[in-house]
Amino acid sequence: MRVTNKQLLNIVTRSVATSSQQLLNAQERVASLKRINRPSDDPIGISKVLDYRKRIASIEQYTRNIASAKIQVETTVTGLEDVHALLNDAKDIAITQFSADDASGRETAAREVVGIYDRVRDIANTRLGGSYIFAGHKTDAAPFTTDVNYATTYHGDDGEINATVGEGMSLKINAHGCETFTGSGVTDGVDIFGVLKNLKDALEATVYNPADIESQVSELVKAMNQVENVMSQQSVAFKRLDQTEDYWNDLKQKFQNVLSETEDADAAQVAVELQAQETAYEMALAAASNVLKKNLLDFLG
Amino acid sequence: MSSIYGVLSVGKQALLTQQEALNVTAHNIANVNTPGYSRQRVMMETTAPTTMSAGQVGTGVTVSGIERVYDRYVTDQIRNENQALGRWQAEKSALEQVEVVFDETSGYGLNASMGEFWNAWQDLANNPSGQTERQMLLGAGEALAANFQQGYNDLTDIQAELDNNIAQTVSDINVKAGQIAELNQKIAQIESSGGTANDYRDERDLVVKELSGMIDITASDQDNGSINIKLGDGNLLVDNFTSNDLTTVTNASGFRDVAWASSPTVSINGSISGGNLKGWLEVRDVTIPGYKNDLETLVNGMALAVNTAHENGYDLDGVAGEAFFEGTLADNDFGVSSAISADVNKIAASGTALGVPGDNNNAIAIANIQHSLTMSGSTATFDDFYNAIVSGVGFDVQAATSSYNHQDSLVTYLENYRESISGVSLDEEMINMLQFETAYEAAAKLINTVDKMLEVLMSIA
Repeated sequence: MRVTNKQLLNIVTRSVATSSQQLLNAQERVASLKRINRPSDDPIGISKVLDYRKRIASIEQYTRNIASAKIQVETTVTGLEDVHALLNDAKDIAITQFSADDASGRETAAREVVGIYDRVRDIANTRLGGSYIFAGHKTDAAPFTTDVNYATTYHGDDGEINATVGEGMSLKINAHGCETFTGSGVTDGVDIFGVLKNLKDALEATVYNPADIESQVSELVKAMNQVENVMSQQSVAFKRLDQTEDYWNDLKQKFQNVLSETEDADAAQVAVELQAQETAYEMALAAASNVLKKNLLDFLG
Repeated sequence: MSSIYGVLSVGKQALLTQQEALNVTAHNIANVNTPGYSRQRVMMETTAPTTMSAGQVGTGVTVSGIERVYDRYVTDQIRNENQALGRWQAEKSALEQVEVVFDETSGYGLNASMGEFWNAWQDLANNPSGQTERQMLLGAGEALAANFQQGYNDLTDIQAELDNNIAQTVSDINVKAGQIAELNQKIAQIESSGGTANDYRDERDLVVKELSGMIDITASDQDNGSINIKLGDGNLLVDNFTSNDLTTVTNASGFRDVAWASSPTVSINGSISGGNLKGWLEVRDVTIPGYKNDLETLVNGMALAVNTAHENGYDLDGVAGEAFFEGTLADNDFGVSSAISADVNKIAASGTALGVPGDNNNAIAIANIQHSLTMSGSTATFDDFYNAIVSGVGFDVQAATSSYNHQDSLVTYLENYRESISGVSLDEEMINMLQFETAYEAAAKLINTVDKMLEVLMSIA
C-alpha cells in the first residue's frame, strides 16, 4: 500500500484524538469514582441504580416512620404504666377502707382518690407534638373533660392511627380512649373514671357502707386488666416496630452495597486504567512528533 | 537521414517535457495538504518516429496529457458511507443532548423527586394535622411537577434546535447544489476542448462528498463531464448546469419539513434516508416525541391515580378532597392545583370526614400508590416505568454511538484508502523531482553537445 503524508497525518490525528477521548473518560471515572456517569454508560445498570436508590430512599422513610411511631407507642406505654400504678393505689385504698371503719382516714382516702382521678384524666389527655394520643382521630382537642360532679365525658372516637412500616405494611400504633379508659366496645370493659368516681362517692358517704367500697375493688381489678391488655398490645406493636427497624437497617446496608457494586468504580482499577490511558496518550503524542518530523529531505544531499 | 537540427529539436522537446513534469511535481507538492486533492501525473509519450533506410529513428518525447490518479469506486463508496455517517453523527449528538435531560446525576433527578413526593405523604401520615408536613408535601409536589415540566420543555427546546439545524442544512444544501452546477459548467466547458479539468473535478468531488453528509444522494456521470445529483424521491437536485432549490414547509407540529421550492407544500421528509437531515428529522419527529409521550403517559397516570385517591379523602376542614395535580405537560401548566397551593389545609390526609384531623389513612393510601402496578397495562409501578424510559434513552444513545463509531471507522478506512491512491507522498514527489531534474540536465547536456558539434562543423570552413 502506498503511504502518503496526509495518510500519516490522519492516522496520527485520529490516534491522538482517540487516546485523548479515552483519557478523558478515564479521568471522569476517577473524578466521580462512578462506573455509570450517564444512562448510555450502562442502560440496564442505570435502571438498577435508580431502583436501588429509590428503595434506599423508601427504607429511610420507613425508618423515619418507625422512629416517629416508636415515640408515640413509648409515650402511650409510659402513660399506661402510670395509670396502672394509680389504679393499684386506688385498689389498696379501697381494701384498707372497707376493712376498717375510720372516718378521718376515709376523708383523706377520698382526697387521695380525687388526686388519682385527676392524675389519670391528665394522663388520658397526654399530648405528643400537638396531638392528643388517646383521642382516636380527634387529636386536636382534649379527649376527656370532667364537670363539677366528677362526671368525665370522652370527646374522642375509636379511630385507629396507622404507621407505614414497610411496602403496604401498616401497624396500628395508637390506643384510643374507648378501649383504654371508657371500656366501651370492650368485653368486660369498665369505665375507669366511673369506677374511681364510685369509689370517691363511697368514701365520701356520710354513712359508712363497706360493701359499697368493697364492690369497687373487683371493678378496679377489671380496670387494671383493661389497661394491661392495651399495654400488652402496645408492647407487641413496639417490639414489631423494633424488629422492623432492624430489618430495614440490615436491608438498607445490603442495598447500599449492591448500589455501590452497580454504579461505583473500583478505585484501584480506575486509577490503573487512568495510568494506562495516560501512557497510551503520551505514546500517541510521541509517535506523532516522530512520524511527522522525518522525510526524504533529511537524507538528500 | 537525420539532421543535426533534428537532434537539437529532440533536446528542446525533452527539456520542455521534463520541465512540464517538474511543474506537475511542484503542483503536487504545493497541494500536499489540500483537502480532496488528487495527485496528478504527466503522461509522456514518444513522438512519431521518422523512417529511414536503416529503420525508424525516434524524434523525442512529448506530453500527451496530465491525469489525476483517482479511483472512482472508492469515491462512490465514500459518498455512500458518508450519508450514513452524517445521519448517525446528527442522531448521536442530538440524543446526547436528550440524555442530559434524563441524567440522574446531573439532570433534574426525576427519580429522586418522585421518591421525595411519596415520602412526603408518609411524613404527613406520621402527623396528619401538621402544617410543616403539609407545606413539605406541597413543596415536594411542586418540585415533582416542575421537574417533569422542565424535562418536557427541555425536550421541546431540543426539538426546536434540531428544527433550526434542519432549516440551516436545507439552505446549505442549496448552496452546495449551486456550486456543483457551476463546477459542472466549468468542467464541461474545459473538457469540450480536450483534456481533463483535474482540479475542478477534485473540487466537485469534495462538494459532492460534503453534500452526501447532509442528505442521501445518487450521483450519475454525464457524457459532457457533468454529474447529475438525484435525491431519494427521484427528483434531480442538480441537473447538468442548473440546480433545483429545496425549501421548508411548516407542518402540523409547528416544525419545518423539507420540500422542493417548485412544489413548496409537499413534504419530502419520507424520502430522506441519510445524511444529517435524516438524523435530525428522526430525533425531532420520532425519538423525542416518543420520550415526550412516555413522560406524558407517566405524568397523566400519576396525576390520575393521586387525584382519584385524593378525592376519596377529606381535608383538614372535613371537606372531600379535590384534584391534587392539574394541567398537562403539553400545555406547559402541569402543577399542584392552585387551591391546594394557596391553602395546604386542603390536602386530604383523612380517610373519613369524621376522622379529621387524626386520621391518616388517605395519606397512607396515596403513599402506597407508588407500589401499585398502574403502568404498562398493570405490570409496572411509576418508578419502573420511569426507569424504563431512562434505560431506553441510554440504549438509544448507545445504539447511535456505536453506529456512529462503526460508520466513522468505515469512512476513515475508505478515506485512507483513497489517500493511499490519490494522496500526495512528498517522498515520492522528491524522487520524481530528482528523476525529472536529472533528465532535464541530460537534455541540456544534449543541446550542449549539439552546440559543440555545430562548432566543429563551423571550424571546417
